[in-house]
Amino acid sequence: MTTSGLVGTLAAIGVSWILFALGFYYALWVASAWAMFSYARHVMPIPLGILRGSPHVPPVSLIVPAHNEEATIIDTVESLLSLDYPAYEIIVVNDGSADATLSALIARFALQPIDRRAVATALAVASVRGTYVSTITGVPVVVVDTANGGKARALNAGIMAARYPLVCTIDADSLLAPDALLRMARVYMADPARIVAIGGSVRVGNGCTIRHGRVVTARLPRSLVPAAQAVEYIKTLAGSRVAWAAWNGVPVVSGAFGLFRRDILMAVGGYRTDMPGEDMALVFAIHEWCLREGKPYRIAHCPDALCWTQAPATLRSLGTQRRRWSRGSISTFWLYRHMFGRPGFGSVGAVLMPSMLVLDLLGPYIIFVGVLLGVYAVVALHAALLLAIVLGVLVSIEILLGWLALLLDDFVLSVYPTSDVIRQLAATIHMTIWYYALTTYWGIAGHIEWLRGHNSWGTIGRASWKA
Amino acid sequence: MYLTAMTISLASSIATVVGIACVALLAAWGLSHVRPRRRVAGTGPSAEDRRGLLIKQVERSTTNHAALARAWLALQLGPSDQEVERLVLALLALPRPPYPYIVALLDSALDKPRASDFFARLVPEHHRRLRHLGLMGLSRKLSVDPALRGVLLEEYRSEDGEARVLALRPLLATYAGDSTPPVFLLRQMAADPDWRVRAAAATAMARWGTMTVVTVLRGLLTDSAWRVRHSAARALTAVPHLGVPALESMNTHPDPYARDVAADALDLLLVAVTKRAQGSGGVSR
Repeated sequence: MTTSGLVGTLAAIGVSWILFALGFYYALWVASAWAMFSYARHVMPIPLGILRGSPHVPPVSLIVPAHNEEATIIDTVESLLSLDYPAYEIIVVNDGSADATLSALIARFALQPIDRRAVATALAVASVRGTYVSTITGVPVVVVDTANGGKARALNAGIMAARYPLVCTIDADSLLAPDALLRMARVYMADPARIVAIGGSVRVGNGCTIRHGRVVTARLPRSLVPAAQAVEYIKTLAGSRVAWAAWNGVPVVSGAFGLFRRDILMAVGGYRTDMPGEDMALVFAIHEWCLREGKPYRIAHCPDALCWTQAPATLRSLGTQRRRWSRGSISTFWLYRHMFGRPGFGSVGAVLMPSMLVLDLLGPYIIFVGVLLGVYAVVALHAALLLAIVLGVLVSIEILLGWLALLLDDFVLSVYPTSDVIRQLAATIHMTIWYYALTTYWGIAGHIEWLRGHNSWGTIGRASWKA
Repeated sequence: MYLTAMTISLASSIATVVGIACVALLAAWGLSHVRPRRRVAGTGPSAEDRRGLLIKQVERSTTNHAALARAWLALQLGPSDQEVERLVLALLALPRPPYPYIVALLDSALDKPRASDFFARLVPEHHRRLRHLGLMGLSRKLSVDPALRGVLLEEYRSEDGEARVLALRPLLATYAGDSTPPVFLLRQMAADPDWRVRAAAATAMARWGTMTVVTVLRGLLTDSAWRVRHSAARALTAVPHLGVPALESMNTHPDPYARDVAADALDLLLVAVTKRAQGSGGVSR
């Protein structure tokens, strides 16, 4: 093949990919807008007061895995203690922390050891060293101390220790809005026969004002890296996750805040312990199990149940996180490749997995080749002006898609003040220049790590919410 | 190359126009919600008309949330008993009626005696869904009219395990005024083949602190289902004077699961007692 033939073929592939991506993301946005407006019209008007204090609201076990989280764990548990929910318990699983996580919990909540041997090993868990219960909190606070076995084993230990039919997983560096769980219950209780899991709306809390474990003022972070992530989270949740929930093809329920039926978790064997991205693998396992069993099911998304998480504050820690996400994404895709393109597996097999392959897994490589083609067009074909026009149009569409998602989120949920919404819109412009280049690079790097069999979590520094 | 570039530009331009149109639509929608609609006092439809319209909308709703939202609005307008029944029937006609949500909705919108009367009226219904809703509505009441005992007993003797679970609590609540427990019924419930019935029975038995009840609960500590053992142990901790010695006597029981659940319950009781002794100091909700 001649050079011009190769360039032409690659350009044709690139064009097809761009057109598919644009069409698909617009379709996702339109479906998201439809679902969000429907949510605003039918779910949000139902006052939470109906469920507040009602004995008919299902009790929930909150599971908080913690590994070296002494900086944030007390704030997190205090935030959970102030939840507005009729019946719940808090289970903190100390995953072999080397720092003072356990001693901080013991001191703050006057924990007493109890002999709870009910933490059996039906799921893969690390060895349990002890169980403690608080003597001073109104809501039961149970701490399960295990040897270090990773987040998945810690979550499994929490599921085993849970008493209630619904379990909610929360990251130790996350804070829930006081009514977040009640909002999830409002969604769950409308269709309890089918809903098996609900994802919450995870937001970046780095710039927010926190008092007594509560976010009192929601603000966009001042620093560039967390602010970019905050915008990306909103775009992902408002621009696509709601649509996937409407199509029953939710790819992932974030580990930072997700509600699950405990019996379903037990049926699928809990979290997998042998791969990164355990939250995505769990959701795929639930899809597969329900579809194989012929069980009518729904994995829903609750856009107004807010959870504030600490985003990585530096590019280094963000890179570590994104490479892990990339590994998790590709390993989950590979593990469930038998569902690919099979309509028998519903929208997951027929729509989610093909789009995941084309957009998420192949996307970084196509963008990379596109950049090389752009350089070739400038150097060899002297088509700089034309390239600039094409790039300008593409970038403006990308920005427009981002704006649509951000505006949708603001119109329906109005979480941030107007000044921050304007900053979000502005951030979308500069993020197209640097942020997506970096995420593309980390995506490819994650794939290479996966091929090399790299399976560690890496280290992401945490700061106290008070800092 | 130029052809490719032109194709991208054309497609992108079309997408941009579509996008701008979407933004404009979104902005229009947002503005229509931000600006309150003006209504001249006295010229709008009457509460009765609005209720009628909302009830019709509930009857036509295809999703649970849409039906619930409209039912809530209708209930806020003070419907008559006939209208409440019509609303409930419309909600129960949904493909997967959300019973607990409907009960919570009625509990919240109607005053307590009216809600209790309404649920009690549903229990003798022939329609299974209405009957279940009535049972669920009564299941959290501390006392239920003894006149309903016959109907509830009939429901409890049903083949359907779910119906037995639902009927159990209101049935025992009809004995709330009696000084002695319905021993025969309690033994029957403790021997039920459905573990959910046995667990619910164990929880409900704690209201009577007699030796007979303690004996039945002690027997349930060796049940094959974990939830039943757990419920029985928790119920024993709530029985004054007799419960704790019964749990302590399980220390030497040959069944390791029974020993385990009894020890667990005693641990939790100790923690609760310590907490009470420490007073109100410390973290609270």
